[in-house]
Amino acid sequence: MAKAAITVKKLHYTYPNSTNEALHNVSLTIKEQEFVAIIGQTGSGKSTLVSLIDGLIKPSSGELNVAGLEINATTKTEYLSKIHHQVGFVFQFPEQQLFAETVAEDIAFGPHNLGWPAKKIEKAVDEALKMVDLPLELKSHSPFALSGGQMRRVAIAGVLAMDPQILILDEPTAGLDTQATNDLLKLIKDLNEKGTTIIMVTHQMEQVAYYANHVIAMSNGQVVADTTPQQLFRDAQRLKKLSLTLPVSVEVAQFLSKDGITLKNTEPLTLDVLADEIAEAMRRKRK
Amino acid sequence: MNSKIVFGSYVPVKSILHRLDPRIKLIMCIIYVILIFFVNNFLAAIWLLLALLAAIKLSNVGLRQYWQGIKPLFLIILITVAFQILFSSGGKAYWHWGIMAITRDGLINSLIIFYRFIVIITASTVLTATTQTFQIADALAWLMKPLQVIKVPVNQITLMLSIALRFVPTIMDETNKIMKAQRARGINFNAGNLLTRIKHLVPILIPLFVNSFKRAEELATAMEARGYDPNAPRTHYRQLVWHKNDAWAGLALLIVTVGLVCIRIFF
Repeated sequence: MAKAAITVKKLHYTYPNSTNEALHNVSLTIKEQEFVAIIGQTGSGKSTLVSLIDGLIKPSSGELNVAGLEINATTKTEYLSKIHHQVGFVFQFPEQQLFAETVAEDIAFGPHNLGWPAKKIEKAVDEALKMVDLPLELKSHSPFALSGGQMRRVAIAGVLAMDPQILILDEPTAGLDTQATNDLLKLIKDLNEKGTTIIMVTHQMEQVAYYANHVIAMSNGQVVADTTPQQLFRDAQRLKKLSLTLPVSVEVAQFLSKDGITLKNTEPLTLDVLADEIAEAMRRKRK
Repeated sequence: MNSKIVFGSYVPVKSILHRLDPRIKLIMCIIYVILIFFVNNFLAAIWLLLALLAAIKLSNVGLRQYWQGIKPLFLIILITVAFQILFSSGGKAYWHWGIMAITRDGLINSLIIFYRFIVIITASTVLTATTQTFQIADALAWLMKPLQVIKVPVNQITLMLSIALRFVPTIMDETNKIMKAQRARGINFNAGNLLTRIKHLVPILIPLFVNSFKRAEELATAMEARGYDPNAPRTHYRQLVWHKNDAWAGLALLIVTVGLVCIRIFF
């Protein structure tokens, strides 16, 4: 974990025909292979930030470097499309972008746009389907005949087939059931462990606590916290000010400390860690 | 987000025209357009143009914004006028080449067409700039009411109209979103020749259609769940109320009409 995958310097963005800045003086660094969670209320600028990182919009001022590509207000649009070779973007409800006659064609759309040779595309489609745990028989099916969860997986496979170094996900688990949510998060975690840098926009603090190693909190177009989940959840007061909640495990630990039971680790990020801490505290008490 | 001034979009400012009842505005617009076709001389043209300028002044919307609205249509108007000049005959000929000729009648006719185009488009822009679409829909529904006598399903037509209008911004937003998603998958909408560009529409239009059908089904289910009956009499949340100013507007329209009739009789 050394090289910077994305650096953002003094970034400002104002939407056309709007007087309010959607992003105000944002600077941050995301290192390679990090799992970054971006949190914040609706309208805080999360989506604008990730759109800028994917080169879908151009900054009003300031600059950013994404996987070695320099982008500023004067960058040409053709140059911006180079970013899509490095960065994949899974939008919210990605199943709404499916269009092709067969699943295979839809997944091949991205690689095809990148100008890959046919053989490489075919291999990428198979691999992507395997990654999202869908049987290869589905390749010749229409994507519109699938179930909602399967459609989402096909859409995600369409992005994974482009083999991105950096993967952006905008609330990927919205509207999924618990099982599908866990499967998807596990897939993202696996990709991260294999070397993909992950940037995930989410409202679920449990997901931040379980998976992220770097968290960026936004409010009114500004970065208000750029730290680790552990650090972020230590300051409950500040979280409250930002209208963010604590993950259940941290909240339980805080209730316990109010009642005089102090755990060694005051911010257990997962329920497992919390259980261990409680067991340990009980053992200490017995002695 | 993408709120470029387009032909027929509402301009949210305060003015007497904005406050007028949409029904009188719609009627005035229709009658004005009919009057335009009775213009046969220069004085009549000036008279109606003055009436339009007065309306523009009262609408509190800048001339520049009207021009922005008309500009995209200007090319079509110019082409039509050019055809009229080159391909009509009669009167003194000034120039000719093959079947093309510039004649006196041609010039006069094209001038009239140019005038009609500009004035009619501007007049309807005044209506749409000062009246929100749902108000126009309400006004249309009111105007169609007499048709109920001959079994025209006015209520259903009105509902269809207002649902369609309601979903225009939604579909615009969705188009933006889908375009963004497909661009993230490496498609470049600004590159390639005409054929590739048309092909590039497929990944936008198909999701748009699929989602629209889904939404229509959901909307129908939601309406039925709340007891919607197409044949039941309807009440309206927004009531149209006739004010004093609306009567004055009607009077102004009457003056314009009488003025035009006088000009036609005496000149």
